[in-house]
Amino acid sequence: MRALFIIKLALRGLITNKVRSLLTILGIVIGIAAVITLLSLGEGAQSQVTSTISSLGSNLVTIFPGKDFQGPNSVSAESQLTNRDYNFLNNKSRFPQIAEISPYTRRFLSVRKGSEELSSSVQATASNINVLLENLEVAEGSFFSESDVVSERNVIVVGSDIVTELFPEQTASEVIGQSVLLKNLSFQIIGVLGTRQVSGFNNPNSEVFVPYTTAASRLFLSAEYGSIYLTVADTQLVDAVVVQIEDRLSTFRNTSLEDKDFTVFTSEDILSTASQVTAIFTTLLSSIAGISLLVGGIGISNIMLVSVTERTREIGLRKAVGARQIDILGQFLVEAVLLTLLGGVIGISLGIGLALLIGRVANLQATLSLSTILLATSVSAVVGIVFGFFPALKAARLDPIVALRYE
Amino acid sequence: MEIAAGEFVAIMGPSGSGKSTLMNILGALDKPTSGNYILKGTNVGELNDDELAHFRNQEVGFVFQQFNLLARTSVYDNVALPGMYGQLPNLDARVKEVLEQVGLATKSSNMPNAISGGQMQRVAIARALLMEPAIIMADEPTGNLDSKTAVGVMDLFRDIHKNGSTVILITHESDIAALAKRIIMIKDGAVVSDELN
Repeated sequence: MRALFIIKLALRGLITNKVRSLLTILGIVIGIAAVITLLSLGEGAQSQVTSTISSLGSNLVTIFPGKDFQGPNSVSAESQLTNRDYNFLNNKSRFPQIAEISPYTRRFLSVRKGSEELSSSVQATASNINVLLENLEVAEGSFFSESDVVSERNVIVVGSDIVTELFPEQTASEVIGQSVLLKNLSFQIIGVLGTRQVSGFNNPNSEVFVPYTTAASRLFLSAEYGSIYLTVADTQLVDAVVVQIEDRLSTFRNTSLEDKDFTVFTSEDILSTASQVTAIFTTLLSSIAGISLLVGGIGISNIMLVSVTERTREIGLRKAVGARQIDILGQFLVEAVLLTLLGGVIGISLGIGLALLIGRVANLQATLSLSTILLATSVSAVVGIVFGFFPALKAARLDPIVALRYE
Repeated sequence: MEIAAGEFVAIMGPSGSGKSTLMNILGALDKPTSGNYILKGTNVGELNDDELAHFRNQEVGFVFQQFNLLARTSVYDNVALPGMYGQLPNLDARVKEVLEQVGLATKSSNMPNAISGGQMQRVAIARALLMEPAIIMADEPTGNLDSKTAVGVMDLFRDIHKNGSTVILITHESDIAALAKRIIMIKDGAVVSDELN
């Protein structure tokens, strides 16, 4: 079949000039590798975010002060979430569907032991937070109790990094009963959390938990809560409970439902927002990587044009022995596409390797889907066709007589 | 002008006489702007580009002054080239046959940069013979060869002519032209003499 023969000719054309072929596709290789790496890291980030949020439980509902998630720092004093709101919601007869509820405020503070110091995310919560959040497990000791909260005791439950960083030669169980300093206040360690998976975005093992009452009066010196977490007994009722909360709490806080000064999120809301954000981020980065593909394509065009000029006599000869315009066009176009496909394959392999490497080094997840590979392959082929077409056309249109005389 | 099958014709003339133009028309590389060129019953001027290419493939075997072999391509593949475009069914046998004819059967897998100038021209002649064309069109075939090698190549042309090929030789050297059986002289675009040798 003539088409097969053209492909054979094209392959031969590329093989006779291996070095040039490889240099030509360098741009494509880098472009595809960059796109693949970014897409896999992006997809990995997305699934990591999804699984992190899912691990908190699908019954989780979070209330933040301010409209549209402004957060406590950008909200006026009247609109803050306080003990009033907490007590209003923490009422079994008013909200029978709420299973567990806790205030949740977090600040970064230094945790100190002797001369060692660790910057830690301090979470001020109620005593039921380890029931509320499904991924909190106490490995040694215990979580603080209701009585600790009521009495505003200086007790603390620490993540595993506190043990390794501040008590280097000791085990988790040895650490129980010892004290650490937060803002020059002594806190007794009563529990150590199990090691949790680190994602690229946060390290949960450097978190510590203190009673919210202690934090309010002595640590953060503020009666405002960053948020209120609660779980709903029946997953099916989550949306109904959210409606109920929004309705009643807005009345309680003297605002209308439309202008309410707080925001209620379900894990689904957070999930979809997070997914959207990572998706936009991934698309942006990949588009930037796509620019290098464009540059690579221009490189292909450039080299193919040079190649056509260099092979003018050859083209003239081919025509003289019987090649038609379509034969020459086909040969050069196939050469360009073969080049870009080869570049694509190398780029994909390189991209996968790079994604896995970066994933391991930076503790990020790299996910590779078949659709990404197919996308990269088709893009390579299209780049070859688009950027190879003009040079191929130029070759096909050469006058054999003029071409044969070319020096 | 009329050339019969099996003739060995030399076309001579100074530069600017129009011998290139004539060669291009005879070789079906170009179409005449006036008049007709009929080869083996086909009016070449009436063919479109694709048909012209096919016609060249089947009926014209070119031999150039600069050999025009494909670089980094074996002797075998160079000779086979017209057969590939023409989709010749018994290609392998035919390639071996013509290589035998020009005395290069042992050099089949050599690269052009590993053979001498004379051998390269023989490869070109083998390539020209492959499709059993109506005419062998040789444009200053010995122009890039030393006199000793030139004699060898001209002997080969004589041999293939004896085997029945029609050879048209374009040259400006009278001692090369003298080896043909008929010499046509052209000057300023017109035939000035046409004599048997």
